[in-house]
Amino acid sequence: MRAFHISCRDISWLGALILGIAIADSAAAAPAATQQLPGSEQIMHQQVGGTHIPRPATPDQLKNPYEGNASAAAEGRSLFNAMNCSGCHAKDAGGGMGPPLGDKDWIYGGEPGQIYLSILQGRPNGMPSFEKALPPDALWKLVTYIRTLGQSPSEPIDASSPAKQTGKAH
Amino acid sequence: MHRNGALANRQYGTNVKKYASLSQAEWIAMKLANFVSRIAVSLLTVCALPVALAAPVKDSDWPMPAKDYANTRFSRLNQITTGNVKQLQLAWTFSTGLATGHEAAPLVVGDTMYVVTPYPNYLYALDLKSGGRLKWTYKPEPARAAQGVACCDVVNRGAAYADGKIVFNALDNHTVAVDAETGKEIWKTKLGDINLGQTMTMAPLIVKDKVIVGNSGGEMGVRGWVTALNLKDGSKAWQAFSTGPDKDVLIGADFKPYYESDRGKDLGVKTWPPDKWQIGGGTVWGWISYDPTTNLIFYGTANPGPWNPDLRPGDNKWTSSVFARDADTGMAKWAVQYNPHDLHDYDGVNEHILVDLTIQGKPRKVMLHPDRNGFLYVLDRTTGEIISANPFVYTTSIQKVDLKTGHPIVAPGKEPHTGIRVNDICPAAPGGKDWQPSAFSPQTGLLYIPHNHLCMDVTSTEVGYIAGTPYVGMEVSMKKGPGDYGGVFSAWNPATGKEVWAIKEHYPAWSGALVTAGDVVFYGTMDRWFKAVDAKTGKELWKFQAGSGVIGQPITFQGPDGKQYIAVLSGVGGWAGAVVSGHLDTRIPYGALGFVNAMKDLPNDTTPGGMLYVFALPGNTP
Repeated sequence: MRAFHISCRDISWLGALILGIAIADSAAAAPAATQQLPGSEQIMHQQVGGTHIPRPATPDQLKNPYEGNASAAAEGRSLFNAMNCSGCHAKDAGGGMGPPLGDKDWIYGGEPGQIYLSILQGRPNGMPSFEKALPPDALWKLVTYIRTLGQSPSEPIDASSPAKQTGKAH
Repeated sequence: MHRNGALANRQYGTNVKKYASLSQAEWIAMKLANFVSRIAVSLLTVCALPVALAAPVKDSDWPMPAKDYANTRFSRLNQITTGNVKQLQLAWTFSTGLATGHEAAPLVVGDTMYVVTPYPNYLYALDLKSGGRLKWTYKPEPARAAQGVACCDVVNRGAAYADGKIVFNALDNHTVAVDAETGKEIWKTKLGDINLGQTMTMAPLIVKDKVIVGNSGGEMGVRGWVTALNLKDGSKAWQAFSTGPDKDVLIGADFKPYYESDRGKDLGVKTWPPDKWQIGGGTVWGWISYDPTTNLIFYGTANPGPWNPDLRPGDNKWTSSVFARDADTGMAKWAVQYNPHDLHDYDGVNEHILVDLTIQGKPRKVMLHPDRNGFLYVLDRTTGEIISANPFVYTTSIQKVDLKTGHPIVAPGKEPHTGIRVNDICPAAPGGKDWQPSAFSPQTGLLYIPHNHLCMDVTSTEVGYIAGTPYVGMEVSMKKGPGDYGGVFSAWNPATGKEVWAIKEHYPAWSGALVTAGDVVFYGTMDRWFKAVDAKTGKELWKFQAGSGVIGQPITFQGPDGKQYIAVLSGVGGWAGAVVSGHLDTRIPYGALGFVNAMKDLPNDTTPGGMLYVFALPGNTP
């Protein structure tokens, strides 16, 4: 994610409450793999890569359980709008108060694990931490959606079309 | 025609007199010994008060972004004329080192120029005696996260000078006063919270012993206010909210609105769904004017939040309005709501230029206000009566302004509603004109307006309030107006209500305007031109290609060498230029609240980068 004014602030429990239904839905659909994810305290101590400190690989334990999963990407897209990510990054993530997410410029890294950490922890130029607002499972769905951006940004994600869900290495 | 500038001229005249009496007092003090010195000291005290408190109005200086309290941006300097401006050449430059939108006006006080930058809001002092040598830099160190709650790039619109202090706002809601000589911080007052989405981008106005500032964040569910701080120590003197009960809005017994719909108790509560006024916008991020003869300040309030109008039935007072307030107490004298229940993000923050006009044979104390809704209002500044309101841009959304009610008549089919797409709303959300300030020449009697030529398609959406995040509820896609151009720079005759000449620009004319006694008008374009045109005809006389698009406010001053200079910041950005300064995705129309779609081609014409340019005529002597 670029350093340009990323946005918003701590989304609190209020946000979580508002979106309880969506989250409950996604939690119900979560595969068992999410149970093996590190807790947030561990994750907070992970080094975060990016364009300043290139890191060749994402830590194994931060593998996206949904990579390429079309229905997860569609759910991630709903979350992107419902959690007001679109408020800052714009509908379809073209950017505004926060940077665009469909290009190749990532300050904090564009690998799935790096995107996950940016959403989880927040970033200093304004990106809020969603740690309290969303469970890991929902974060991964957001990551899955974000990874689909930049391929065909003007077209909506179609959950029935797996061809669009192959992901893009940023 | 000369009557038109009476206010500005009177201000000059008054202050010349005050300076004269001060010099006399000093002369007496110097000439006479102890016996007289006590009298002289008391004279100085008496005389220094108005001088210190009044705006400095020396022709050679440029002490506030609009030059004077009337907000004319008119300079009486006349070395540069329509005849010789073609010889204008670069004198010196200075890089700000930043690559976001540079909307500020440089200030000049004596031998020093002061430049305030976008975030991180550096204040540079440059020595005019030595080609802009850097004297000092002051860094307020605003919180980094403030960048994330600034709706439309991290701009700053300038500083103000008075009483030996440079005062400006940092993005993270601190107003700071800096010693103009040394660059040392004198006071720093925190006025808002970025965690609630508040920022500050406007330029303060200093009136007598008070600094008047306002907040930004109308897209974040911020509740707008204007606040007066004591110039001496930064303590709060008064604060007036734009929404809420009368006691918060500083509406009392003296409040005499001209129009029926603006009368009643606690309208800032009653014209909203329950409690929505608390997150209803009406921020104060534009320009403030001041009339010393009535001691009133005038300023506009911004759009209501969220943009989706279905979520806030009612007039939503006092958003998209203008207030006249007593400068000492903040108490409201009158108000007019330009756009009750605003539908299109038509803020009321644009400048109010105070002039005295002869209308239908009668002298009137008026103010000129080119509103976001595309109409140019002439108001009686003593009562708030709208004398006339004529469209100054292409418009489809507002049919006319009803002078009986003061309300605009919205065109059928141009009202956004949840889930419904409404196409071809003109002007678009940034309005017929956004923040970019006009200039008024008492010599020509014309108003010079940099403005937009934009339309938009919108779909209103549901949105919930989450503190510190956008609260908009509208998907917007803007486009250039009919003819496929995005901006116009025009001259307007407020006495007749008619355009005199107009220059089409490919992009919105997003810079400020400057007009001089040499009858030369200056403005900048987003495709990197800085232009001089004839104030009477609009004929292009000179232009200079800057390093980046020009969205700053040009100024003029007389240097220590006696020569007239012109100065402007280049550095594209702002809401219109965010596509470049924020490297937004041009494939997606919704970026920057929909502005990207109208500016997709801007990256072909400019890159970001802040640079100050100072121009002068060739030769060593004036």
